[in-house]
Amino acid sequence: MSGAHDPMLDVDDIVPPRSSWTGVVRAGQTMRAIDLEGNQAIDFLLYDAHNSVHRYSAVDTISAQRNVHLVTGTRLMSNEGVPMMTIVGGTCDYHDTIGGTCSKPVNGVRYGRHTEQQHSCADNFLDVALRLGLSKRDIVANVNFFMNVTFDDDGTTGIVDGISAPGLYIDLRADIDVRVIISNCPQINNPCNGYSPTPIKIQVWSD
Amino acid sequence: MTNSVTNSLCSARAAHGLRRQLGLQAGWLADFPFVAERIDYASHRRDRDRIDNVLRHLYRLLVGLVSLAAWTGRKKDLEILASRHQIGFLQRNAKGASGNVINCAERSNALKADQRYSSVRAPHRARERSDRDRLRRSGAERHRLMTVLWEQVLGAGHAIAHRVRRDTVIRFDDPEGDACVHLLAFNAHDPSERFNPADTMKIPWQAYVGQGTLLLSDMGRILLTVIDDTSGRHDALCGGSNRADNERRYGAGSVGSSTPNARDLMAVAGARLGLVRADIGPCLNLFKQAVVAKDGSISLIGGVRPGGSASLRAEMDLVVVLANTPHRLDDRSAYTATPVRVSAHSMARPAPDPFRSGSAERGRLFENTEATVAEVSA
Repeated sequence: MSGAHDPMLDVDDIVPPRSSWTGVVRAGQTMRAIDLEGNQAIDFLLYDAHNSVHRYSAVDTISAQRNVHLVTGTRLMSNEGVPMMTIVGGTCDYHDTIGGTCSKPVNGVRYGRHTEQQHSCADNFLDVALRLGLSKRDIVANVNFFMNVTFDDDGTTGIVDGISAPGLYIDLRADIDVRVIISNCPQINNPCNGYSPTPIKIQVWSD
Repeated sequence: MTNSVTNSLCSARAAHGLRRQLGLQAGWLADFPFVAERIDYASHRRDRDRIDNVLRHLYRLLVGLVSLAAWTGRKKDLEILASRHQIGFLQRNAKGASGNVINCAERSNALKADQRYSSVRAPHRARERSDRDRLRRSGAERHRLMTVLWEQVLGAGHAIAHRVRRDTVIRFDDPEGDACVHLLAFNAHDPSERFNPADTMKIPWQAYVGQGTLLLSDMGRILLTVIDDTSGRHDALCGGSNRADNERRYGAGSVGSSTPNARDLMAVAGARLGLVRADIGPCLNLFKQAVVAKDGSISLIGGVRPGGSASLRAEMDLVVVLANTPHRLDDRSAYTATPVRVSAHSMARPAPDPFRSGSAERGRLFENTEATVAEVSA
């Protein structure tokens, strides 16, 4: 699916289920995230590679385009209103940025105390962030690629399966140098991963 | 004994015959004491029993119909629930069985089931919600507000930060009806725990903040409970304006300008209570209503609504940062935000707490919160 780019790939990593990935994507480079087996949510955070206080902001992205769905053409905005990355292509209709991450305490609240021991995206994000010298205070609202969050007129929301399939991918071009943190979502209590987390692939190349 | 029975039977028969001849009802006949004496307790009883029997059958039929209807509805709900849950099972099986290929037909069936689910369940859920709302409305009245701890007017382009103890009620009054109060809340003992819009919306599956909404932190705990509210649709999706927004719309946006942005105002106000710029994340926008359409587009509705108010009860010791600036989707060229009276009240928590009930999730959220409150005060 990405054969054309293979010779010039700067990154070509498989991220196993439940694990994390981080890397710097320089301005102008393109990052592709591939949902290898389908039905896998990818939790995604962005920081300015040179100033971590300048980071992805879900609310700024939603307000800038006045739409809650991330689609091709959406610019992922920073908390200062600067475009950090642009979705330049992909095969999934839309993506979510209001669902947030799964975390141990929230799993416990939603699915019962016994699920507090399960893996979570919040832990993956923290694990990577701490190694990079960031702290829990730096974890912000994230993007969920390949996750379908629906809205009813009365404000009822839901995580619903049905827009993802094996081999779907999304391409993001960096507008500034960004540090990307990815958690390959380990959630097994709702349909966001089809109740069974699977591997994803991350590729980065320069045009 | 036998005589009296025979007599009464005879007299009953006679009365019955008489009544037949007259074509009259027993009740009418009973108005004549001399006839009533002669007749007719047995006939009366028989009539009454007959009517009772008919009524009893009717009642049974009614009960039967009602339970049949309830059972059918419930069965439909259950079927739909089951098909909804099958989405996951189907695909897990499909993954295992056919080498990680997902069956498209199954997927579309599951999706249809889900659409059916939302169309059938949504009115039901709305009804449940309105019941809960009624409970909570009466619940709100049970919060006896006591001493006013502080109060101040928050004008357009201003921000304040306060430490707020558990069991304080913060009340917001917007008499002119065009305010937009941005609110950030942090655990006073560990500011890395802060307002998390995603968890606030996804645990109850409700995007709009209104009476009864629990404003949650990222730690599965409650920061504030909305105990009283006239809006029903406070906005947790859009966040506060930044400098770039205001420079684009009003020509200037810095804290020193006459059209300051929400983010910088809150950073400066919060800094006085130990927060740093990185702590200023997505906020709640009180009083402005941003609604999401089916296609995901989001827009402001509601206009100017004078006399709005909202009361938030602190569930743990908090640092709260507030600013009043125009909503970032407000397209008017004038920088418009009407002044808001903010007051903090001490309060006696009612027992039982009307906002605690409703779901297992709410119970666990309150338990988690109380556990951390106990840890801090120990």
